[in-house]
Amino acid sequence: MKKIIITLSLLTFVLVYLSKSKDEKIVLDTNKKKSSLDITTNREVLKTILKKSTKQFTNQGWKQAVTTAPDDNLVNLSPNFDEKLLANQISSNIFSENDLEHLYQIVLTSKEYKTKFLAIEAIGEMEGIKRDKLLIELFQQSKDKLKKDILRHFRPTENNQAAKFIINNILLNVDEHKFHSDALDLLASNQVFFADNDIKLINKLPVHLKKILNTKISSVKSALLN
Amino acid sequence: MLKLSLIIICLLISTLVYSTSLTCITGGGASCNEVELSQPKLFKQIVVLPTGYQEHEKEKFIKDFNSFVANMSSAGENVYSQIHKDQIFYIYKWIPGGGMESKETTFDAEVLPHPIRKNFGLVLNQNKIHEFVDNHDISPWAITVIFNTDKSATANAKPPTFIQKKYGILLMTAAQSNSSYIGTHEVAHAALDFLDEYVEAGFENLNILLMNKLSAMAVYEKGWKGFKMFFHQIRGNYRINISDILASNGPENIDTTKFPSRVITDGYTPNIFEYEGGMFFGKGTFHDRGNNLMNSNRVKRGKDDGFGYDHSESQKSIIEQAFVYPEIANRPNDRIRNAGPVGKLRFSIKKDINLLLFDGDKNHHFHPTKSYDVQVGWYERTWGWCKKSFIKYPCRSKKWTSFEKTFNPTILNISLKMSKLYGTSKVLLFLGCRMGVAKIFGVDKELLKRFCQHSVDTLADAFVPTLEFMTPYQFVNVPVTQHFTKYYWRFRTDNGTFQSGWTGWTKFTKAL
Repeated sequence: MKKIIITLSLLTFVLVYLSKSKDEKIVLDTNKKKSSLDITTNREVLKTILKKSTKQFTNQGWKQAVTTAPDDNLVNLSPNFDEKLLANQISSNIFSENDLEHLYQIVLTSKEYKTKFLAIEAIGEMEGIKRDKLLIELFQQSKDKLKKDILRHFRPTENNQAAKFIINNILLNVDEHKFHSDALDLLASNQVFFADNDIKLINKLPVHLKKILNTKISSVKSALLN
Repeated sequence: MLKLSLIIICLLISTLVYSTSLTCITGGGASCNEVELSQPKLFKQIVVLPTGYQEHEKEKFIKDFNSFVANMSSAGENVYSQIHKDQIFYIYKWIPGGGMESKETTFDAEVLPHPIRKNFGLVLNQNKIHEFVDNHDISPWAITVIFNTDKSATANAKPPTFIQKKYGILLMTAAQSNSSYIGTHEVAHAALDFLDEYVEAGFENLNILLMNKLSAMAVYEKGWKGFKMFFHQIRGNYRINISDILASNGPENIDTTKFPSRVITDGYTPNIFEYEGGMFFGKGTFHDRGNNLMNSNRVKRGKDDGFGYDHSESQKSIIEQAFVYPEIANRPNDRIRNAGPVGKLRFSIKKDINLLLFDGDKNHHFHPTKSYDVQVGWYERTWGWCKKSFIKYPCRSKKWTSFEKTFNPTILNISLKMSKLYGTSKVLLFLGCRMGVAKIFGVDKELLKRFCQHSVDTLADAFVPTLEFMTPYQFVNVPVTQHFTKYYWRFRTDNGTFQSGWTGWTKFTKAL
């Protein structure tokens, strides 16, 4: 009995291993792998499986389509892919945290402003600590025009990375004076919109910046809440 | 026979009533042609109605009507209402009622203190306007209601997309009928479905993306379905953005990105929205370059980002579609993207999964999406035997398999429930009251009054309303059966003239 269980376990392991390794390899070109297959047997099995998996589709009025399999390098946002197609891929999709690194690389390596802008937008729409970290890194590595686009996506809340960065690295940094106004706008509107986010770090700001911030806060408040 | 005669007599009487009660002139000053009146797609009907005018004030109303028409038709040689003045039919109906201060005004109109600006706001019962349209043989492009008041009030307009009608509604005072700017600007909202490209005072710092913090709440509905959507939204499986619902939902002169065309369509050169700002917000919205009627000089990002009796290229394209080619779309409905689920493992006991499509032109006033082509594909696993020399071993091959289906759009409204959750009641008050009265939303008058008279601190969940929004989203059900399979999907739109390009393939993995 033990032997049977061990044999079955081994067989399952081998099958899982084979299926996994094929999963990874046969992504772009399945044709090359087909040469050694027993085609007759395959067809039989294929027919049975196709029936099962496609029945639901045909039952619900779907028709078999003639399409080329998507290139996983494009779907997975490989930064080296054709930039025009990458831009189309980014602007017409939403992404998960797994894609953050790729989008980050695209901002750094792509040549066109459009592609960079779209990748920043895609990162900006996501949530989480990693997103904030990457936006901060991108801000530090980018040129002025792009810095404005990145800053738009910071979401400063009490003691989070974005708030610390905005205060310590932008507002308290004379070299970044071009972005002071935008950074203060961001702090002001976040403070008013989501009033529970009292950012205590603001106390670190010099008097003149605090004054501007307070003016901005009153302006937003009066427009929003009267 | 007697019955038939009675029906014919009734029809004749109704025709007589129609012809005597509605008066029509063209923007060029000619009387309206019956044949042209029966072609509302090409000859646009702007119906002008009075409120606050009493029985003895008919002459005053007619004077105000004539002034409105004259100012529309002579606004400037580059303005739509002057260029196409012979194609615009101005129709009025005299309906006397109580004076503006009374409680018997036509359409229950009222002049209220304005929530944003230091003057008054104009409100009325919109349902009564819709009843009026239903009971008359008219096909309005826009309804203009002139308020007989001396008070300084802000004119406002509801674009057709926001009130989910074929026409928009604009409200203005008698004094404003003398202004070329107010007439042309507000009719552009109500008839051309344009949004403001200017930034409201005090809103220069506000980013529309802040609104997206509300998104999870937006899909919250009662019951299991609502809970499931709420859960998916906060997990990030689907992305419903309030910013898209506000600024990328039908009207096309504003968008939430610089690059409104999200997909590549062969043969079409997409537009770029160079300047940031619009739809009240200083940040997070974008519009085309070119001084125009919908902009102001308050926030200028460039020399050609301000006011002018003119139109941007994006606006010109819509105007041409409205007046010259009303049956043909001016561009593909390419403001689309796959909005979920994203590439995580999907645990679904059921044999189907919902895909979420975002389509900024789903509710386009002139060329709404007529159908969606959706394609779903996967690598079909096939087990067989492989040989190496003389050794046979089990192996697996994969075959790309794909299916497609065409879907018709269905209305998907969401409710934004006012709530104390997440400290966002201020934002909702702003959306419902400030923006509702001030400009755009088709919120019921009584609701607005009730909503706006309370400060945030005194609002209680018990009496706060739910705001309804028509969304640019579409759910599509896909019967995926294979477990532990990576599925790919994409879609495109058809607006009757153009098929858009496909969205990029996106993937999700069905686990259970």
